[in-house]
This record gives sequence, C-alpha cells and structure tokens, in this order.
Amino acid sequence: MVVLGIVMILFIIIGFLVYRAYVRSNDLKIYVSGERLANRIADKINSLNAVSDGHMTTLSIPAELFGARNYTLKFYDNESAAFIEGSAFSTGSDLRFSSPLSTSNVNCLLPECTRGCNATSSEQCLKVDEAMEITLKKHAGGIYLTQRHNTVQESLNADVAAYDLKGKPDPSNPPAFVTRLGAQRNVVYVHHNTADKTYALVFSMAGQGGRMKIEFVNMTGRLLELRSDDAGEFTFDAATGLPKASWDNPVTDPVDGGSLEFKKGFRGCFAMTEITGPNDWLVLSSDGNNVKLSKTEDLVTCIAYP
Amino acid sequence: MHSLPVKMKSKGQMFTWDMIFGLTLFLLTFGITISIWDTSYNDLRSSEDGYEMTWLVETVGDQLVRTAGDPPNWARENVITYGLTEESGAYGQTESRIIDADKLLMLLQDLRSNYTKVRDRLLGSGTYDLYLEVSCLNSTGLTCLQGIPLQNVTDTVGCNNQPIYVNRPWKMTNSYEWHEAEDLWGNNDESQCAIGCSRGNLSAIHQAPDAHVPSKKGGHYVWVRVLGNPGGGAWIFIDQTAYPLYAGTSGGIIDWKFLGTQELGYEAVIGFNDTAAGDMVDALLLTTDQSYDPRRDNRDRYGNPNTGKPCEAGLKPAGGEVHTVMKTGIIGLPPTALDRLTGREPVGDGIVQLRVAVWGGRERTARISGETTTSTTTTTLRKAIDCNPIADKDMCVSDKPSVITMENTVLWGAGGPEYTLTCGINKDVTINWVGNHGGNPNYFAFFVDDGRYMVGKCKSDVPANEVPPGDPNGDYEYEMNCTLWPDPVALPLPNGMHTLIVTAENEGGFCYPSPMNDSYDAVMDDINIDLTGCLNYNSIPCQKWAEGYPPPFGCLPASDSVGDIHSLNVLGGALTRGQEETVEVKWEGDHGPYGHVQWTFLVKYGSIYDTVGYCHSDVVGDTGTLNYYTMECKFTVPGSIPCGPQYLYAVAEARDGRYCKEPDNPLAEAVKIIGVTVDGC
Repeated sequence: MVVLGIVMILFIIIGFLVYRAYVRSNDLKIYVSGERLANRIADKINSLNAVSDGHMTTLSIPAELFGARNYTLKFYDNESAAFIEGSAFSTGSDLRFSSPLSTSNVNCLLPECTRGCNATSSEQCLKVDEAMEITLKKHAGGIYLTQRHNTVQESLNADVAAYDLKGKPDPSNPPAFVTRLGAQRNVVYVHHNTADKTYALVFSMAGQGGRMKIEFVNMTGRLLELRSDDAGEFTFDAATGLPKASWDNPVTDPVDGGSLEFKKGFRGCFAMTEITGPNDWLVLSSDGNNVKLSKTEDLVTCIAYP
Repeated sequence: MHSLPVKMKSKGQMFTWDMIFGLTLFLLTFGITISIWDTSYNDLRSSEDGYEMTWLVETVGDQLVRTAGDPPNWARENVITYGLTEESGAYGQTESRIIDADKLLMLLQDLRSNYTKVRDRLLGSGTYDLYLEVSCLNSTGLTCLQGIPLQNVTDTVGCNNQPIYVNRPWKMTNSYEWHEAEDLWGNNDESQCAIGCSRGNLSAIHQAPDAHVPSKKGGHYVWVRVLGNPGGGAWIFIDQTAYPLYAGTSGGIIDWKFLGTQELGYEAVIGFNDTAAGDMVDALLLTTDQSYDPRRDNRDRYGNPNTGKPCEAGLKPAGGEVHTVMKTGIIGLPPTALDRLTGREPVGDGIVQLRVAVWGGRERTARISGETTTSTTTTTLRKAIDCNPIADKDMCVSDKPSVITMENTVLWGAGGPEYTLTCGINKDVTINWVGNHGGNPNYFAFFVDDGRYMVGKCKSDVPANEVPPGDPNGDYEYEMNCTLWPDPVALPLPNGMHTLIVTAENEGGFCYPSPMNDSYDAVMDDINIDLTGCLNYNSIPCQKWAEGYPPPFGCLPASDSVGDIHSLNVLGGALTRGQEETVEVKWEGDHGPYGHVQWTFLVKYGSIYDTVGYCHSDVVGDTGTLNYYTMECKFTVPGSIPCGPQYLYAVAEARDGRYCKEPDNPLAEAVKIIGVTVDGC
C-alpha cells in the first residue's frame, strides 16, 4: 500500500506539472495571438494615417483568439493605442493587449460598435464574435471603421459624395443640386458643414401629395441635433430612443423633410414603414449622381459617411 | 500443496528492482521532457518578446518621422501622440520626413521630464522601455540642429548627456561654428602645445592669407584661442572689423579671447595684420550663444562645445537585448512668403538621424493585466547592490589597470528617470557598472561641473561570494543604487544645465575628477542635469541718482568688486521702443570701498553702442565677502534703436560714481552681453 501510495502521489505531482505546462503554453498561445492581432490592427491604422484623406483599406479580424476566446477591440479618446480585451485560458480572467497608434482619432461606425459593450462616452468598443472584414477610411484627419459602401439596401451597394456647404442644412430650402431634379423628387443626401466639420443626413421630400414614415433601427455616431421643417414631424421614438419621422406633403407645401446632424461621421439604418406617392426615393450624391432606393416597406437602408 | 511463507506474502511482488528501475527511468524521462518543455516555452516567449520589440521599434520610428502627431500641431501640454513631421495643410497632412525642430525638442524635453508618459504613448504600454539618440548624418555632434529657427520652444533642452541651448530672445537653437586654425591657415606647429591644443595643433599665423569660412547669417559672439604674446601688436580682422589679438587675454600660456559681437553673413573673411613670427592661433569659435564661455570647458575639448556625441534621451539600458531602428529626416524651416506662394516646404541643409531603441532587459511580467500573469521573460539580471554614504574618505590611490567600467547613470524622480537636481533634496541615482571590488570596497563620488562642487560620495562593499578579478567568473554586472545630497551651501551654482561627474575608485577612498586628480579607476563626465534652488540671490534695488542725463561717464581702473555677472534678462522678453522695460541682473561680488556699483545698459547695432539705461546699486560694508545679488533696472528704450535682433550690454563700474559705457575698454569692471529682439517699429 505504501508503494502504491507513493506511486499515486508521484502521478498526482506529475499530473499537476503536466497540467501547469499545458496551461502555460495555452496562455502563451493566447498572448501571441492577441498581441499579433493588436499589432496587425495598429499596422493597418498607422499605415492609413500616414497617407492623405480619401484613402481606404480593409482589415480582416478573426472571430476569436486562440482557444475559442471571444474578444473586444477598444479605442479610447485621448489615448493613441488599440486595445484588445480577451480572457486567459487558465483562469478566464481578463487579458489586455495594446499596440500604439499614430492617432487617437479613430471612430467606429459599425453596428457592432453599438451593442455588446458598456462603452462610455470616451470609449469605443467592437465586440467580436464572428470573423469580420472591416473597411478603414481616412477622412478629415480621422480613421473610420465603417461599411464598405456608404449606401447599402439589401443587395444594393453604392457610394455617394457629401455636399459641402459652410452652414447647416435647411430641409425646407434644399440646395441647387437637389432642386435640379425638378419639382417632383424625394431625396436623401449627406451634408458636410465645412464651418464646424459636422455631417448631416438630410431627407427632402417634394413629391406633392406624398406621404412617408421612417423609423431608424440602428444608428452610430454622436448625434448633435435633429431638425425638421415642421415641428413634430421628425422626433425621437420614446420606446427605442431612435429618430422617427412622419411626413405628409400636401399640395400646398413644396418641400418637406428633416435632418440629423452628427458631430463626426455617422451610420444610420432606417426602414420606410409607409410610402405613398408616385416618385422614387433617391440617395443623391453631390456630383449629381443618384442611387434609387427600393420602396419596399420595412426594407432597411443603411447610409454611412465616410 | 505448500502454502507460501508468511514473510513472502507480506512483502508482495510489486516492490522489485524492476519497478524501481522502471520508475526511475520514467521519472528521468519525464523530468527531461518537462525541462525541454520549459526551455522551449521560455525560448518561444523570448522570441515573441523579440518580435514584439522589433515591431514596436519599427512602428515608433515610422510614426516619428512620417506623422505629425495628434493633434498635428501638438504642444507638450496637449500631446496625445508624438509625431515629428511638420504639419502642412488641413487635417494634419504632413510632409513625410520633414522634421519640425520644435516637435523634436519638445519630445526630448518630455523624455527628460516625463519619461513614463512618452514611453506609454509611444509604445502603447509600459511593458518595455525606450530611448532615442539624435545625431546628424553628415557631421559629428548636433550641428544640423544648430541655428534652427523655433516657434514654441524657448528653454534650453536637455539630453541626458548634453544640452541643446536655445537662444530665447532670437527664437532659435544656438549655433557653435568651430574652426581649427590649422585647417584655415596650415603652418602646423605643436611646439607650444604643452598645456593642450585642440586637435593637437596650433597654426602659425605670421603673414597668413585671408581665410573664408562658412557661417550662419546673423549675430555672433566671436572667440579666438591665441598663443599668448602679450607684447605683440597683431590684429585679427573679421569681415573688415579689427580686433587686437592679444589685449585682454588672461590665464595661462594659451587662452580664449572674446573678440566681440558681430553680424555675419553666410561667409566670414578672417585675416590678420601686424603679425610677427611666433604669433599662433589654435581655434576660432563663432557662436550665437550669449552665455557660452569656452574658458569654462577647457578640460578635454579645449572649449569646443560640439561633443561629437549624439543626444541621448530616455532610459538607456546597460547591456541586454536592445532593438533599434535608424530613421532620417530633414529639418524643416519656417516658410517664407515665397514658400507660401509656391506651396513648397522650406528645409534646412542638415539631415537628422533618429535612432530609436526599445528594450526589456530586466525581468518583467507578461504583457497582461491584473492577476493573470503567469509567465516571465528570463534574462540575465544585473546584480543589485547599494552604495552607502560615507562621511569622508579621500585617499584616492592609482590602481591601474582599472577593475571598474561605468556604463550608464540614471537619476530618478517620482515618475521615472528625471535629471533635475534640487539643492536640499536628496536624489536617487543608479549606476550600472561592470567589474569587481578586488577584495576592497569601491568608492564613488559625484560632482557638479568640477571637483569643487561635490554632491555625494559613497562606498560599495564587497558582495558575498564575489570571486576576485582575473577569475573567469570575476567580471560582474552591477546595478548600484546611490543617493546624492546637494547641499546649497556647498553648491553656489546658478540654475540651469550643468554636468554631473562621477568618479569610481577601487582603492583607498574616493577620487576628485580631473584636473584635480587623475587616479580614479573610471570617470563619467557627460551626465547633463538641471540644477535648481542652489544659489540664493539677495535682492537689492538699482536706482538713479538725481544727476540727470547724461550721468558722469567714464571707465576707471577696476577695483575687482564685481565678479561674474551670472545673468542679464529682459523681463518682457523683448525691448519695445518707446516703452519702459525692466532688465534683471544677477551677479556676484561686492560694492567696493565706495559702497556703490554703477550699471550702464547699452544696445549695440552695427558698430554703434547706444546707451539705453543706467542705475546704481548701493550696499555699504559688503567688501571682502562673496555676495550674490539680484536687482532690476528700469529704462525707456529710445526710438533710435533699430528693430530686429540686437545685443544688450550691461557694464559695471565700481569707482567714484562713474558709469562706464565702453564694453570693450579693458578698464570695464564686468560686462555681460545678451542677444535681444527690439520691436515696436
């Protein structure tokens, strides 16, 4: 029995040593995968930050770190580093990896940035639970994690340019590139206020006798102001906290609409829940090109800029 | 059937030699496996750390020379990300590798005063350490950073091993154009070099032809090192302005002579007149630095301020694995109107080299947070020892060859390395050195500037189990902690950049540095420190009598009352024509038998000295003691002074109520010159 006991003790010790070595090596693999991922993200952002505005690149990130560990990508205001938060193999407790960035002006416009994290106002986080291909765009000196095309509706993918103006948009008095379309028009366009560098998503409906309801289902970006040409038409939904609009354009009123003004870039996803009137809805680019949206009700359209 | 004996039953059959052998073999194999596993793990971990440091150093190097930083026009107060390129256009667009001198100097300032902030922002964490070396591609030392116009930086910038002096009134880095006489006039002669000639030669200048030397456009302080011939009547000409070559030289056979201040173009013509055989010159210095006095730096370089070494900033390791990258860039210049019109980026002619080094030489935890740390990087650690303060032990004994090699010295503050030394406050210092104790304690001593000003001395006892030198294992790497105690009474030095000197001695006691003693085992004399709070000046008024203007002028024989004028500052930063300005004078000395010192303030433009103010200080009975005074004098700047960069002179006269307004007169008691900017035109 004594011998058997000694052998058992030996095997317990050996088992512990093997387990410890296994845990260490797995923690190292997580460390390596986390650190290299942080470096890869930083490389992409730094390379893009070194070139001028308008350039873009893509970044592929895996669904998980080694050992099927989900992770979160975080950026903080006034801190020039990319952080990855995962969990250790051995204890499950938090692990954090960081890599230096050459800018702190990183903005996430992806829908994943609005869910899953308890992000504060000075923090942006992207909770990753599936492999992603992220588009990075350099715009106005900042780096934006955004969607590949700035206008997406089901299988429709298109890009539009913002309209530059020194001043805020006026939904009741659209600019010439909008009115050029004629009296019967329904458009959405992106307005860039060159005075304060803010952006706005503007809806303008001039199809007389038309009626439309919009409900936002998702939105990223820092909303500064919601404006409407008529009070009460463009409001916040008490249940979701997101904007909703209900426009009814009578024959006597030439233009109806409203705007959402954001501090920097934005991404707004909305569904038209009720549409009447003969005219198409267009997403209008400042160069005059336009993209026709499907008028199928409840079909979600996402417009992001940049 | 026979039953087995009871004895055999009780023993069983498992405990046999076969089992012992099998178990031993298994344990041996298992132990080897675990050992290989551990080694493999550590190798992997070490390799990963190496990869990480390589990645970091490349990233940081590129970030510095290819981005403007965040915000693009960052200052020390609001910097988020360090980038050194000039901002051009909106949104921080930048010209890659055109370096903004202000940003480079601000980065060096932050590395010196707030190392941890810089490290964390450049490396993204505090896991590794870093340091920078700044040098020039096509010249030795930091000449590519000299004479560079500045926008924001107004204070002298300290590298760990040397200062980069900033000319506050003229808003530029100071330049030090050093010319060896033998390069200009040949005629090498080493016969008179007994007390040292820079680069080993003098030049005989009798009947020497004119020499054309490149210069920087603007005002300069002109110094020449001559072979003394007090009776000689030779003259030196700088661009047609003549100066007596020998008048006013002092101290030793060969000495520096301050010729004067002079405006120079991009080239200066230097010639001699009335020379005789035996007239010799060692070197010429054209500098914009009003405070630089080559006579004070005569130990090794004979007054040459260009050390030839790169500027080192950050935390430098002693040995260990260091990952480095070298990046280059051109120093950008402020755009002229033409540059703005054409949209081009004006650049200087100097290429600056930036060597970035990242290291993690000491044992440190894995780069993870909280309590989850499970791994360490195993490296060879330096042995930590203490150097304990001693009361007195001045018995320096020559013991060559040396058994001590000092590698680097780090002064510590609350947040990491900090090279400020404040009188009355103890300072922690770490010296990394390699060598042995040789069976005796080793002695270390610390001095500011030279052997007169000691700030600490200590003894390092022989650690247990140290084998003697000569043994294959007798070469140790030590990380030694010491404490400095700068005593304000023993350290009457003005605020500003000074040099910390460390001597190490294996035998007897501590050593003074050269030239007081050369018996030390090792010396380190290029540690640049900011000294504060050591010299307390007595504030005295400087006022006018009722004699009206002009006061009685005259330079009378010196009474040796006024010693050195430490500083002369225009408190408003610039002299504005038609406005009352205040200048501050700090000086040492006394008021002589008359109890008065008369001060005259002059502005020099071209070859004209224009009196702009005067006052007198009065202290009776301070003769015979060394006093330190600070005083302010007010005067209204005449409208006749041309605007632009000029020179302000303070001239002291301690005799008979007279004011001396001739700075070049040998009878002037004391003279201080600074560069000023005159505005209000």
